[in-house]
Amino acid sequence: MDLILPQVVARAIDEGIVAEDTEALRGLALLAATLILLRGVTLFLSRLGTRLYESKIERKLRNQIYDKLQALPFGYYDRVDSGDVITVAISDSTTVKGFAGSALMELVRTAGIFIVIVIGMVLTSVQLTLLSLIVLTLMIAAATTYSRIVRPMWLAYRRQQARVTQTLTENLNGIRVVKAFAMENREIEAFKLEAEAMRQRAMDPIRLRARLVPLLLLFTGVGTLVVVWAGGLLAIDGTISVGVLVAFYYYFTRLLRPSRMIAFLVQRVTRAAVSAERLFGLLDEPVSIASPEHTDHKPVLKGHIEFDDIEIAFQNRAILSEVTATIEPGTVVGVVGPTGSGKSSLLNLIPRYYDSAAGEIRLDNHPIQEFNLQELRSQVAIVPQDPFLFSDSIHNNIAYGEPSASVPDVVAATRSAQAYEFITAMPEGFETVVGERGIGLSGGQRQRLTIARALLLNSPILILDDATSSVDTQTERKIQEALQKRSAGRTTFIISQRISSVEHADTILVIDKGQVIDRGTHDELLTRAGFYRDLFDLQASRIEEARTDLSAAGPAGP
Amino acid sequence: MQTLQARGTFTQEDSDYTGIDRRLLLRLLSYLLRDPKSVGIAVLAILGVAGFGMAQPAIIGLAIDEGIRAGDPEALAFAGIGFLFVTVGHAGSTAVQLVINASLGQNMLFRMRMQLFRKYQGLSLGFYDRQITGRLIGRMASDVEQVGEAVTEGAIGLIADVALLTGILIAMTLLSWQLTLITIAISPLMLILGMVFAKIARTAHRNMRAMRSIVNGVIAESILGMRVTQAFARENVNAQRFDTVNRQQARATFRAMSVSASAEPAVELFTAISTGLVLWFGGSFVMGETTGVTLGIVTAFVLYIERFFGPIQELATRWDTMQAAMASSERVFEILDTDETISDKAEAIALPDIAGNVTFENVGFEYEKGRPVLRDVSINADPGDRIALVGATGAGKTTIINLLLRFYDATAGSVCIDGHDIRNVTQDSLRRQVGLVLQEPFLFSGSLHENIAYGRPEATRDEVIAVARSVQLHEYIQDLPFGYDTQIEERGGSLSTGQRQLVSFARALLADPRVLVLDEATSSVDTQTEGVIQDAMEALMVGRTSFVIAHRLSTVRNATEVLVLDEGEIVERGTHHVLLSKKGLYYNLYKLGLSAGGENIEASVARGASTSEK
Repeated sequence: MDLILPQVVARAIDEGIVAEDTEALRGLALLAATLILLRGVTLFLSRLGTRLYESKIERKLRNQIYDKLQALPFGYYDRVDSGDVITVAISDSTTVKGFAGSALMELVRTAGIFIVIVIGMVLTSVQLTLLSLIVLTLMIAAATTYSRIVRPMWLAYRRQQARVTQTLTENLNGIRVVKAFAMENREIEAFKLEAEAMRQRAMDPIRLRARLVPLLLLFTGVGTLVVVWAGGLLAIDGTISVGVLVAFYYYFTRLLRPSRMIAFLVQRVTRAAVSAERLFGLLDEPVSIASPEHTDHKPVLKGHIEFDDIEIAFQNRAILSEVTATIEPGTVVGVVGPTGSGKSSLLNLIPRYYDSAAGEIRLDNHPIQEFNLQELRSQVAIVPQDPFLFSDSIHNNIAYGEPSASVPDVVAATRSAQAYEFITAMPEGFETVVGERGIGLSGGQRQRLTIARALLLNSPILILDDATSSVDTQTERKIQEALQKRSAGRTTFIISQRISSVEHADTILVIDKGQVIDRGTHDELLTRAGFYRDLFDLQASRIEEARTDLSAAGPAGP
Repeated sequence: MQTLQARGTFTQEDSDYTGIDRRLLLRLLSYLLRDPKSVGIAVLAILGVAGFGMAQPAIIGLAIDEGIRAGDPEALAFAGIGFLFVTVGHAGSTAVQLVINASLGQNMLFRMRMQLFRKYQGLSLGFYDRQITGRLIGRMASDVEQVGEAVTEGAIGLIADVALLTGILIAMTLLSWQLTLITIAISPLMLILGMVFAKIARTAHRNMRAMRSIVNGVIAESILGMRVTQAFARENVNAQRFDTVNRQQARATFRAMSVSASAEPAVELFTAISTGLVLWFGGSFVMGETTGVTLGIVTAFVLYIERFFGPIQELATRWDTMQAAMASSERVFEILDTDETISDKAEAIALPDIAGNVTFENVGFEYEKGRPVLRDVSINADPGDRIALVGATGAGKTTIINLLLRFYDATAGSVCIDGHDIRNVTQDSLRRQVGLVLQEPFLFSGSLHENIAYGRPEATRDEVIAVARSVQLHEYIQDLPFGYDTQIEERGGSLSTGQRQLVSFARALLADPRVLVLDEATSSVDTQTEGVIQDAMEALMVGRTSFVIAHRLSTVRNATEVLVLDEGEIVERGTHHVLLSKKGLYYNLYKLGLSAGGENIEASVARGASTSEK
C-alpha cells in the first residue's frame, strides 16, 4: 500500500490535474480512497493479531515463572533478595513479552515498509533515490548512536528514582527516631541531594534528545530540500514530471518515520535482551530439592524419626555436625540451645526445606528422599518463627493447608490455639482480612493464628519453632494443654528459649554449636551441670525473686 | 521495607475522576509560573515550532508553482534557501521546546517532592499513627510522577497542539479558504471519535491496570509467603488460582491494547479521506482556474493534512491524561494541606542546658474530642529519678512518653522540664536533651558508626567506640571484617535483635541527653544477651532522669517510682515494695503473672496479664 499510494497521487497530478482530465482525476481519487481504507483495515488487523499473540505469550511465560517459583527450594529464597525476584517475575516478563510481540513485529513491519518504499523510489527516479538515501543513512546512524548513548542514561535515572523512594521509605519507617533526635533538617538535606540528582538524571536523556531531534529535523529538511530542488531542476528540464516529483517527495516523507523507528526498536530489543537474560536465569535455576521419579509407597506416617550422623555447612562453616538421634512416634521433644546453635536448621531437614550435606534422615525407616515431596510436607505441620500471614481472611489463612476444611474444624483449631476469642471479638470475625493489606495484629495474635493453621492439618509430625515467644505464659500453658489433648500419638517438636515451654516434654535435646550436647527429661537434665541447668537457674532465680517480693508483702489481700 | 516497594501496592488507587477541577488546575499551573522566564521561553518556542512548521509546506507549494511550473530555476533557488532557513528555525525552536518543557516539568516535580518531604518531616506522629507508610510513599513515588506527566504531556502538550493546529488553520486559510473548509469538514468527526475513543481507552486501561496490580500482588505475596506455601504443600491450589487471574489479566490487557491499536489506523484513515477530498476538489479548482488554487497550493494542502489529524486525535488523549492526574494531584495536595504539624511558637526559646527535672501538671490528652486517653496525670521527677510505667496495653503509657517528647501537645495541663513549659521551647533544643530508645530499634542503612552517631553526626570514632564499649558492643563490632564501617543491610541480619537493641542504646548514650525515655523490648532474646542488655540499660540510665515503659522485673525493682496506669489514669504509685504491700492492682497483676508459672512475670505485669491482648 505504501508503494502504490504515492503512485496514485502522482498519476492524479500528472494525468488528472496537469492533463486537465477530470474523469481520470475522479477515478484515481476513488482508487486512492479504496486503497487507504484497505490499508487502515489491514493495519488494524495486524496490530490486533500482534496484541493477541503478545498477551498469550505473556500469560504462558507468567505461568511458567510461577510454577518455577513454587518449585525452587528454600535455599534459593535465602540467597536472593525477594524484591529482586519480584521484579524479575513482574517487570522482566512484561518487557520480554513486549519484545516477543510488538517490538519484533514492528521491526519486521518497519523493515518491510522501508524496503518497499525504497523499491518504489528506485522505480520512480534512481538519481533522486541515491540522493535521499544518503540523508536517510545519516538519520539512521544518528538515531542508532542516540539510542546507544541514551540507554545508560535511562538506567541511571531509574536507579536514582529507586534511591529517592528508598530514602523516603527509610525515613518514614524511622520517623520516630528522626524526630526523637531532632534530625529533620539533616534528613531534608539528604533527601534534597537525592531529589536534585533525580532532576539531573531526568534531564540528561532529554538534553541528548534535544540534540538528536533537531538533527533529525535538519536532515529531514535538507533531504526535502535536496529532493525538491534537485527534483525541481529535473522537472524544469522535463526529465521528470511534476507528478513524479510529488510522488517521490511523498515516498520520502513516508520513509522518515520508519527511519526513526528503527533506532527506537533497536533500543527496545537490547532492553528486552537484558530482561530475557534475567528471566531465563530464573527459569534455569536448578531445582535442587525435588520428589523422586517414582514413589512406590503412599505412606501415612507414624512419626518415627531417625537422624543419622547429620551434617550441614554454610559458606564453609559447619551449622550442624555429627547429629544422631532417634525419636519414637508420639514423643514430645523439646529443643533448646543458644540463638544460632542450629535448632531450626535441624528440624527444617524433616520436611526437606533443606537437604543435609551428609548423613541420612529416616522417617518410619525410609530415607526421606524416597517420599513424594508434597506428601511428605503435608504430613509435617510447622509453625515457623516468622508468623507470615497472607492478605486474606482469617478463615482462609487457617485453612491454608487444607482449603476444603469445614468451619467447625477451623473453629476447633482456633480454640486449641487460644485464638477463638480474639477472632470472634473482631467485627468481621473469621472473615476479617489480615496480612499486609489487612488489619494489624499483635505478634502474639499472629503466632496463635499460625498455630491454628498448623493444628488444622492433624499431621503425624508437628514442629513449633519458637512459636509462642510473643504469647504470654498463661496462654501458652493453655495452648500446651490443648495440644496434649489433640495430639495423642503425634510426634511434636518444641523449639524454645523458655524452660516453661519445654519442661513437660518427653525428652529434651540440648543443642550448642551445631551438636546435640545433651538429651534427657527436664528432671534428668537438671541433675547435670550445663547449659540447661544454667538456663533454668537463671529463669528460676527471677521467679524466686518475684516470689520473695510477694511474700515480703505479706499474706494475700482482698 | 522492601516488601512495600516490591509489591507496588501503592499504585493501586485509581479513581473515577471525571472533569477537571479549575482550582486544582490553577494550583498546578502556579507551580509552573514560579519560573516566569522559562514559561516565557516555552511560549516563544511553541510559537516558533508552530510557525516554522507551518511555513514549510507553503514554501514547497511556492517552489512548485513559481519555480517548477513556471520553469524558473531562480525562484526555485530562492524557495530552497527560504526552506533551509525555515528548517533551521524549526529545528532550533524544537530543541529549545524539548529542553525547556522538560526542565519546567522537572523543576516542578523537584519542588513538589521537596515540599512533600518537608511536610512529612513536619507532620506530627498523630498523623503517622493513622497512615499506612506504603500509601505515603505512593504519594511521592506514583502520584507526583503522574502529576508531572499531566502537566508536561497534558497541559503543555495541549497548548503546543492547539498552537500548531491554529497555525496550520491560519496558513491554510491564507492559501485557500475553499480548500480549508473541505479539509476541516471531517475534523469534528475526528474530534468526536477521539473523545469516544479516549473514553473507551480509559476504561479499558483502568481495567488492565487493576488486573495487573492484582496479578502483581499475587506474585509478590506468593514469593514472600513461599516458605509457607511449600511447608503446607499448597503449590497446586496456588498454581490454579494464579492461572485464573493470569487469564483475566491477559484478556484485560488484550482489550486495552486493541483499543490503542485502532488509534493510528483511524488517524491514517482520516488523513487519507481528507487527502482524497483535497485532491478531488483541489484538482477541479486548479482546472477551473476560478478560485486561484494552484497545483502548488494543492500540494501544500496535502502536506498540511499529514500534520493535522494526529494532533486532533491527541487532544482527547491529552485531556484525558490531565483528568487522570487530577486525582493524583488532589491526593498530593491533601497531604500538603494537612494541618497537623506541631510547630515551634514564634517566640519559642532554645531550651537551656537542663538538670533533668520533669513535671507533668494535671495533664490530659485526647486524640479525638470527648475520648480522653489520659486524665489528670501529675508526675514530678527530680534529676536522676527513674520512673517506671506499667499498665495494660492502651492504659496510656505510650501517650505519656509521646507528650514528654512533644510528639503531641497535651490537651489539658502542662509538661515542664526544669520549669520550662515544653510548648514554649524549640523542638530541636528539647529533643536534643530528651533521648528516646524504642522497643523495636530502627537502624538506618549506612555504617554502624553512622548509626551510633545518628544523633551527633560530628562524633569522632573514639567517642563512638567509647559508647559501644559501655554497652558491651565494642568487641563484637571489632571482630567484624569491616568493624565500625560495616554496612547495615536491610536483610541478611548481620546483627541479632539483641545487638540492634544495643546499637540503639549506644546511639542514645552518645547523644547524652539529661532525660531518657525507654520503651523496653518484650521480644525474647537468649539468656546471655538478656544479661548484657540489662547491664547496658543500667549504664544508660546512670545520672539521667529516666522514664521507662517497664517489662523487666529489674526495672520495676530499681525504679524510684512505679506508676500504675489504668484507662488513662494513674491509679497507684510508689516503689515496687510499697506497691506490693498495698495489695492493689499492682499486687494482683504481679501475682497473676507469677501463678501462670512463667519466668516472664514482668511482661505479665506490664501487659496486665490476661487482659493483655484483646
